[in-house]
Amino acid sequence: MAMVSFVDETTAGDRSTAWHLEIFEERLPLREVIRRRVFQEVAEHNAKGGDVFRGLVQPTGAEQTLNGFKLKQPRRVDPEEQAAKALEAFSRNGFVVLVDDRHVEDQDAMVELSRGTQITFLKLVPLVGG
Amino acid sequence: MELSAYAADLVRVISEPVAAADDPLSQQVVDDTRLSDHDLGALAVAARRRMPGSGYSPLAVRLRMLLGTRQPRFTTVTCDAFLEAVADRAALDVGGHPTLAVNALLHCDGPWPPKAAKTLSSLLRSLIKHGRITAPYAMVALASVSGGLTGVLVRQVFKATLPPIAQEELTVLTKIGPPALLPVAEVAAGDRSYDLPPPSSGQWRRLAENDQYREYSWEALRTAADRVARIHSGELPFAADKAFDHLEVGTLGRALRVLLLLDERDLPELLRPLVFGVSVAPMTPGSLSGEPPGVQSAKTLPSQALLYEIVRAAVDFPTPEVLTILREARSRVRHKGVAKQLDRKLKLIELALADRPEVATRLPDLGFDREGVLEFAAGQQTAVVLATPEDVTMSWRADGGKVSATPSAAVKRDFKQVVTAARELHKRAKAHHRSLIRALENGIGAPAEQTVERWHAELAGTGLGLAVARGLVWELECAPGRWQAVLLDGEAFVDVDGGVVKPADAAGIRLWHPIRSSTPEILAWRDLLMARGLRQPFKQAFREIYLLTPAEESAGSESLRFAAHVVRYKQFYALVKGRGWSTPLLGPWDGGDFAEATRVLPGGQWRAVLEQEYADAEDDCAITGRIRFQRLEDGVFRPAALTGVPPLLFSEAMRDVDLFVGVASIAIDPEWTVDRARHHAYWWQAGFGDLTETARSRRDALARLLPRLTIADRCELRDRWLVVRGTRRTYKIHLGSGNILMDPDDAYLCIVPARGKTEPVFLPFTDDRLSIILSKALLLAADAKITDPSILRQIGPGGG
Repeated sequence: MAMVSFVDETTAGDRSTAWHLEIFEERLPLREVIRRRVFQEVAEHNAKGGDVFRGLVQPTGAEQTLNGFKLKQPRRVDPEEQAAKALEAFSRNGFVVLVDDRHVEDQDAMVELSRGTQITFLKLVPLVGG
Repeated sequence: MELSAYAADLVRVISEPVAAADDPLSQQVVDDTRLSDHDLGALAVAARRRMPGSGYSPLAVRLRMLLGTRQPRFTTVTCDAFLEAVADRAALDVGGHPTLAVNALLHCDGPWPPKAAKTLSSLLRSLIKHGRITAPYAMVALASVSGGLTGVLVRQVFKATLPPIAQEELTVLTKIGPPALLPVAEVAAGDRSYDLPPPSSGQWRRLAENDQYREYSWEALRTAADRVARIHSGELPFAADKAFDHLEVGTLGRALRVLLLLDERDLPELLRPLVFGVSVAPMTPGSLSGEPPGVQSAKTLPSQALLYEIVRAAVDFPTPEVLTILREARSRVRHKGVAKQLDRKLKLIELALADRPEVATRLPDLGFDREGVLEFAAGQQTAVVLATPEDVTMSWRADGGKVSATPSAAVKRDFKQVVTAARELHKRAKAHHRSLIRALENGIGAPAEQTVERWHAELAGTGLGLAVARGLVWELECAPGRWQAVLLDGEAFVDVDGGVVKPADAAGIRLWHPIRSSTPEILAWRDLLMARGLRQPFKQAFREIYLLTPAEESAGSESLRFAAHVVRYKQFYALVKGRGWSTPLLGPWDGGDFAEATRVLPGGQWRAVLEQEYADAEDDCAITGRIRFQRLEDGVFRPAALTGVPPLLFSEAMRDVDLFVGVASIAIDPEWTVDRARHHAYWWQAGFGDLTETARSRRDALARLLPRLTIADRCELRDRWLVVRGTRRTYKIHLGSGNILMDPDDAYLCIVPARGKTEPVFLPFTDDRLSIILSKALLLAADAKITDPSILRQIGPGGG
């Protein structure tokens, strides 16, 4: 069993406080790591309730605010839908994942997990020619 | 003159506000591009006829604002109606400023209305009756038109109250009559009604063309110089800021503008002692008072007001000589605040000088030889003042050939005068050198070019000018419309391959700008300059180029290239002003939430407009908006499509804005939209206190992140740039602004965040700029995979 920590790279320099997740497998494809993260976030939200969802991708019908995505009314969020959106965002370069010091580009790449593995999420911006 | 249908409708709505209240026009913005100058004249009449109490009309308010910025023209009929409306207001003491009447007479295209004398006479009587006598020149001017007893009365009353220099002027003006009195009343700053548009330079031209007024202008300045000299000799008592009355300052400002406009050659000789004299207090106490100078008065000036008026005149009609004189005065003043103010104004004069190419490159002959060397023999040593393209240096050479930075003790002692003279000349040469370079750089976009003959006589006519010219690439018009880039080799022009080019005397010559050349040619010039070790006085061959992007082409008339940057406003404002843009100050006051910075581009036919929004009082930040361009048509700047802007002017304006944003920007506002109503404030408010720190630590964050990314071996982190090697080109991403320049020609690559196309990923409090820089780096490192046609077109086929 591995205790993995997730970090969202934040305002240059300091990072958000890492949060931890127990993962039983020692090897997982990247897509599964992202799914686990999303499922954990959704589970926490659904348990806590409230109209602000703090998760990786925007749920349908929510609005982006400073501290998360604001839902029109407090509701449960569907983990499967969120996970699918997250993977879709990853595939079009919406964010980058670093496992320890390695930049993993392929969703199917196997990731070695051990106690203390740190997984960093780095947001990217969609760009067009101006 | 027929009124346009639109103007006629507007006149109707303004004249009958009650009946026309339901008319949709009364709620709409006045579209001034649909109004001719004569339309505006008719509307000015309608606006003045509306008396207070006729109800609130939003249209009338907007029209007032328009009339405050754009000059209408009148016909005999509308002029007559306008004068009457002004007189009616004056009779009721509800406005009726005399300068309004002056303005209408000056901008009347037909003969003056036959009733004018009578109307003006009644206007003047009303003004006197109500004690409204704050605009003396306007009243005297109107009296000269009205004639009769009123005229005599007005003249006599004013004349008695005027200080000496202004009194002299009025005598001359009265002798000339309306042709001089009206323009003076139009330009006299203290007289003008606040709701008139700024005076046009045409009025100055009218005054300058009058021989009597020109002669008087000399007279006035001589009198002033004499008075200052007598204050310094102790003949007249010294009191801080009391040397000239404010009306005298006005008179002297007019006299000086006329002489500067005419570019009179003997002016500097007279002006120099006058400027120096008003800039510092006399060193010895005034002999009449006999008191020793206090510490207080040592820093005072005989007349700050006149000094600043001279500066303003120089901004209006700059010459290299007046700039040099003021710069020397700057080094003499002992008052810190004045020095600071002069520093700011000197920059404005330099910028203004660039728009006056007919005088900008003229230099006095300081005695430099054709190699840029000027020597002063002083016993065993010789002072060597050397002009190079980038600077003027001074050194001391001993007989044995040993060179040192300072003269020996013996030389200093035995040749004190020579040493002083050499140092003085070095200082003057440096000042000339500096203003010449600024003028040349600012004029790089000016369409006006000189003939080779004049260029030889003026710029290359002095050793100093020639030294600067040798550092620059020039373009010669070999055949009509065909230009060839050349460099000076000795005194001959050579092309990039070293071939000698001999232009005809009448051929045109202008500064070369890389935007007009192909990439191989730009690179060839850069290589040549590097090989010769030639250091340019300003960035010419290595100048950044900003081309119109496909997105801007399709956007029509506005560019969002530098929009949505959150900028430190104080710094931003200083940069904007420093580059010769004019802008109202943003701030937490009425109307202070939005402003347009404008810059009339070299040549005077185009104007760039940069929108700015005030963000937050506490943090003093603003947000940049659209950039638009306007073209001068019939004396008015009207909106123009981006595709119509000359590429060089576009590039230079964009280069300015890139500088403002690159230096002062601290973040990008991701919620920014063209529609200001949709603008959300919270993005920049959140954790704003440490945003400056954010900007600083962005580089550290990159240093930490980059090695872990797959593109690490394609990236290099420099001081201010993240350099990314793609397969097509190499790109430099600016760490402050996130903007991209491409090697090898520093062309600007415009890539912006796609808005509203994809669902956002949320990672709390990410530094958006960092995100953007990283996203750009990832995109460009794999530039072979880019499919966006708008980006591909900018990168070009296979790169440079």
